[in-house]
Amino acid sequence: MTDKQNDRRLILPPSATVSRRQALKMGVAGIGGLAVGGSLLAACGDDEEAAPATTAAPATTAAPTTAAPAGKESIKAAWVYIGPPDDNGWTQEHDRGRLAAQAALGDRLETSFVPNIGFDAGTTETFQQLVDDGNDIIFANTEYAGLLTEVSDNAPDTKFCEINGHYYSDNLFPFYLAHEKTAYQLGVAAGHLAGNGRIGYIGAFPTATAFNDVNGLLLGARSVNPDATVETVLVSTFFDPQKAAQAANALLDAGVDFLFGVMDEPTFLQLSEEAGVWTGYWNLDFRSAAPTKYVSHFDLSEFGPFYTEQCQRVLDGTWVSQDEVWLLDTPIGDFGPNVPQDVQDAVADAGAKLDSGELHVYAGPLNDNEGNERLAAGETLDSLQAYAIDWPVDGVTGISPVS
Amino acid sequence: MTPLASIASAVLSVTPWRLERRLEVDAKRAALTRIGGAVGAMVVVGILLLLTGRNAFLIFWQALDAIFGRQRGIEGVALRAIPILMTALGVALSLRMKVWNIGSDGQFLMGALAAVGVGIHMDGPGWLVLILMAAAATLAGAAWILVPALARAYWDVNEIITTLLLNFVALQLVTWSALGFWRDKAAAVIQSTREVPFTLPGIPGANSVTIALLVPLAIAAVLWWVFRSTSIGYEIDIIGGNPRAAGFAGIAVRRRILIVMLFTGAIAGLGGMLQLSAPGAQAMNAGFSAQFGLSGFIVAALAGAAFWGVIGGGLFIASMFYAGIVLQTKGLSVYIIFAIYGVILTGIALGEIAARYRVVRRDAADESGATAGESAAAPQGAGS
Repeated sequence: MTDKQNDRRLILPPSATVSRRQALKMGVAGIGGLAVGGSLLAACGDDEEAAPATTAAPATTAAPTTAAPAGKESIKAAWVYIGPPDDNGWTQEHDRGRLAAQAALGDRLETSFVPNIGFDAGTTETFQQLVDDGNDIIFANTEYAGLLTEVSDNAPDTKFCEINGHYYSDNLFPFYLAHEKTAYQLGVAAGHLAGNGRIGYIGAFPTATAFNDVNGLLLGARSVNPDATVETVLVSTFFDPQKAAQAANALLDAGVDFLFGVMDEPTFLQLSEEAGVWTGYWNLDFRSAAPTKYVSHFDLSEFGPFYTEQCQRVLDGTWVSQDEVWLLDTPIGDFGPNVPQDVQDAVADAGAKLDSGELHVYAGPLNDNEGNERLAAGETLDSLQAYAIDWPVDGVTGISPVS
Repeated sequence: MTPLASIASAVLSVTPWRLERRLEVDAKRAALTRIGGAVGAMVVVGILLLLTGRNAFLIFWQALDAIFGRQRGIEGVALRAIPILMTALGVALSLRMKVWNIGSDGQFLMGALAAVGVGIHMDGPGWLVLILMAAAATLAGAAWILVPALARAYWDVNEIITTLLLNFVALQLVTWSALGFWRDKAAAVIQSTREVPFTLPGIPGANSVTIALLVPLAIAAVLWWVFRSTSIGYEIDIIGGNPRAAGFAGIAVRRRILIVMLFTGAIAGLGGMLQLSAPGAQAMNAGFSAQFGLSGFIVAALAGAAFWGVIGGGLFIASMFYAGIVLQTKGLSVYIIFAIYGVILTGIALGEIAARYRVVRRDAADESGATAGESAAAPQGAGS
C-alpha cells in the first residue's frame, strides 16, 4: 500500500541531483499510513470516474462536440487567491483571467474564487472544501506546495493547476510565466535609460521568480551597457507598502537610475516618479503611478486564454496533466510616454531575437555572483530550465545562490 | 477594570445606572453569560446579514452543516483548535497571577522551529525522534520567554512589551530558517524548511486528527487539578490577587512568577511541535502560525483564565474560524467574515463583563460608593 493515490513528482533545479524529499517521503509512509489510511478509504468511496486520465491520451484541443464520451455538459471551477481580486496587481490579473474564461464558456462554466488565502494549515481546509463542493478544476495563484498536495493527492477526480508550483501528478501540474525574457527586454530598456548603469530591484523572496527578474534585467542591461549592475533588496512580502517604500527609498538614495520590483502595489513607482528615476511594474499597466518616468510592465493577459483552455479541456474530457511546468508567454507591455523611440526599437529587436531563438537570456559563459562558473561557453538555458534557476548572475548584489 | 468594562462604565455614566462589581463570581452564571453573549451576538450578526440582503439562515445552516454535518468538519475544527488551545492554556496559566504573556505566538513558533531542527537532523525510531522533538519544543518555548520572565520577576520590567516584541524576532528567525539555513534545497524554489518525516500517530477512526488533540485536554486537566487541590495553585492565585500580600504571607513571589512564566512558554512551545502533525504542515514557513498566539490570548482572556472554559472557548473559536473558511468558499467576503468574528467576540466579552458586574440604579448616596466598590478589588474568583 502506498501512502497516496497519485504518483507525485517534483520539478528540481538543474543543480540538484538527489531528491532528499523523495527519500524522506518513503520513510514516512510507515508512520503516516495509520493516519492516512482512513482518508484513503474515504476518497476511494466514490471512485466511479478515473476515466479521463486514461482515455484522454493525446492532448489535442478536440472540437467541443457535445457527444465526446468523457465530456461534461457543464463544470465548476474555483480559484484560490493569495490576495484580494482588486489588489492592482497579481491577483487582479488572475481574476481578469477567471472572468475571461467565464465569458468564453458562458453557461457551461460556473466559477468562484476564495481571496486572501495564506500559508497556514487552514489553507488545506480551503482546498478540501472546494473539492467537497464538487469543483472539477481548481486553480491556485500562488505556490501552496504541501498545503495543496495534501488535498490533491487524495482527490483524484479534481484537477489542479498551481502557478509557480513544483509538484506534478496525474491531477496536478504547475504553470507559470516565461518572464526571464520579459525581464531581459526591460533590462535592455534599463541599459539605455539608466545613465549610471545602476538598476534597483525590490523582490520578495529568493526564489526563481526573483532570480529570473534580476538576471534578466542584468543581462539585458549588459547587452547595452557592459558595466550595468542590479542592486537587490528582498522584503519577504509581495504586499506591504511600508516595507516597499523603505526598500525603494534605500535604493533611490543609494543612487540607482532605474527601479523595478515584484511588489503588488505601486508605492515604489510613486517614489521613483518623485525622485525622477525610471521605473516599471510587474503585473499590469500602472503608468498612472509614475506618469513621466514609466517605462513598461510585464503583460500577464495570457491567464485568460490559459484558464479558458484548461476549463474547455475538462469540459471535453481531454484534460491531461503535464510532467513539466506549462509556461505562458509574457510579452512586454506598452511603453510609457517618455520612453524614446530608439529604446523601444531596441527592446522590440531583442524580443524578436529571443522569440526566434537567435538570442538566449542565459548563454554561457556565465558565473554566479560568488564567482562559480554556472554555464560554460556555448551552453544555454531554455525557459523550462530557467524556471528552476536558483542562482543570480555575476553583477547582481543583495541576493545569494541557494545551492 | 478591563478596557471594555471601562467603556461600558463610561457609557453608563450618562444614564441613571452604573456598573457594580459583584462580590462573588458565580461559575455557572459566568458560563451562562458568555454563552448568552455569543448567542446574542449571532442574533445581531443574523440581523445585519438580513439587512444587507444576505440569506442569514442559509449562511448559518451552511456553517453548521460544514462543521457537524460530516466527520471532516469535526476533524477540521479539532485541527484548528489544537494550536489555539495550547497557546490559550499557556496564557491562561500566566493570567492566573495577572501576568500578561502576549508572546505566545513567538513561543509557539520557536517550539515548532526547535522541533523541525530535531526532526530533520535526527535519524532513529520515529517514536524516539518525536519525543525528542516535543522535548526540544518545550524547552525552546520556555527559553523564548526566559528573558522577559527574569526581567519581570526580578526587575519588574513590564512583560507585555518584552513578550510582544519577541514575537517579531521569532517570526524573522522562522523566515530565515525557511529561506536560509534549513531551507528545502532539493526544491530550491519552495519557501519552506525541509519536511519533518515523522508525524504523531492518528486517533483511531480519524482521518487526519492525531493524538496531538489529547495533549491540551491533558494539560487542562492537570492545571485544573493543580489549582483546585494543591498549595502551589493556591499561592499562584494569591499572587494574582495581591502580590504584596502574597509576599507578606511568605510566598516566594519572584520565583513563582519566573517558574509560571517559563511554564506558559513551554506549553505554547509544545503547541508548535503538535502543529507539525497537522496535514500539510510538516515543514515551516513564515505562515506557519496563523496568529494562533493572538487567538489563544483572546480565548484565555474571554475564558477568565478558567482552564475548562479555555477548552470550551477554544473549541468554539476554532469552530468559528473553520466555519469562516467554509463560508469563504461559498462566496461570503472575507471582510464580512472578519466583521462577524468581531461581533461574536465582542458579544462574549460583554458576557464576561456581565458575569463580573451588574447594572444598578444610581442614587445620590451611591456616588461615593461607586468608586469604593471598584477599588475594593474583591478577589476575582477565577475558577469556573
